Amino acid sequence: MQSLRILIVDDSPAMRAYVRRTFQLASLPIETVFEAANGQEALEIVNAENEAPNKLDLVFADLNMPVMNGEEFVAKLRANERDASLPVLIISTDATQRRVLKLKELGAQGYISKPCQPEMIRLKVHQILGEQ
Amino acid sequence: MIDPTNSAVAALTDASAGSNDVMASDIVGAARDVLNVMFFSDVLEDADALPSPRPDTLQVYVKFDGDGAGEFQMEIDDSTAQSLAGSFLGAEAGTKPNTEEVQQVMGELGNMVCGAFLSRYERDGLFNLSSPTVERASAAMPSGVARSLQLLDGTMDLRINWSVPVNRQSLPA
Repeated sequence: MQSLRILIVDDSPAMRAYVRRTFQLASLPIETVFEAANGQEALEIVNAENEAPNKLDLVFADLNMPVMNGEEFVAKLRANERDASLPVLIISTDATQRRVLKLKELGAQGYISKPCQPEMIRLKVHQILGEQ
Repeated sequence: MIDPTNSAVAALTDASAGSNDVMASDIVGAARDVLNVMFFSDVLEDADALPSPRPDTLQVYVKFDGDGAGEFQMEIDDSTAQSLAGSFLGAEAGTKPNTEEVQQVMGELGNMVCGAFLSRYERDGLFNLSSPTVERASAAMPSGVARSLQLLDGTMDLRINWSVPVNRQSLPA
């Protein structure tokens, strides 16, 4: 697997730190980790990185965030043709079936319910990037 | 002679008590899952909640709405909070997370236990959770379905208060 450029979107700095740490524990090859505290900040980073030579490989996003939540973020991302194929993996405590179905319909590629172990994150990343 | 009014009240009280038992069990189960997987801790035993507020504790509040509405509350000893935050952040031996880090991690812990509880208790429901509020314990937490958990690291009290109970008849089959 090539070195990855990853964006973590979560309003909790503690959770962003946890996800960063799981990349190391799961031995995922990481080139750059970007962080955003909500969907609006994440869209700005995605737009900026679209101008960079190497684009983002994957976005990890929480659902419940102020300013712009995870569902709005995925919907706005998918509404832009340029970002339609950027993979989004949702990590959230909300594991109800209706929520997972709704996120699939919006265009999220994967879903991990918290609590989650590093191995689950590694498997999902391989699953999503391997499908491309 | 049986008073039908009293019978109806008794039946409702029984149903409510049964529902509270399920909620209490789901709160403990949700906390155990989160602590096992992400905090390297465990629930040793659970009991009736302790009087609130307790000294030297943090209180965490998470509001939720959607197919039901209410508030999740957590009250946790400072020392327990520090130990759990260190485990969550992977702090090296001899180092301690600072106050801000402890509060951030306790907010995330409250968020995860609340979400895990709602997913257990109402699998077909849809809920939105607020960002957690974390503060020094100063006032008594409202009464509700509550359990006190004895952890490997100390004590944690959890409460659920519904302001709008879930109407299960309105949920998809």
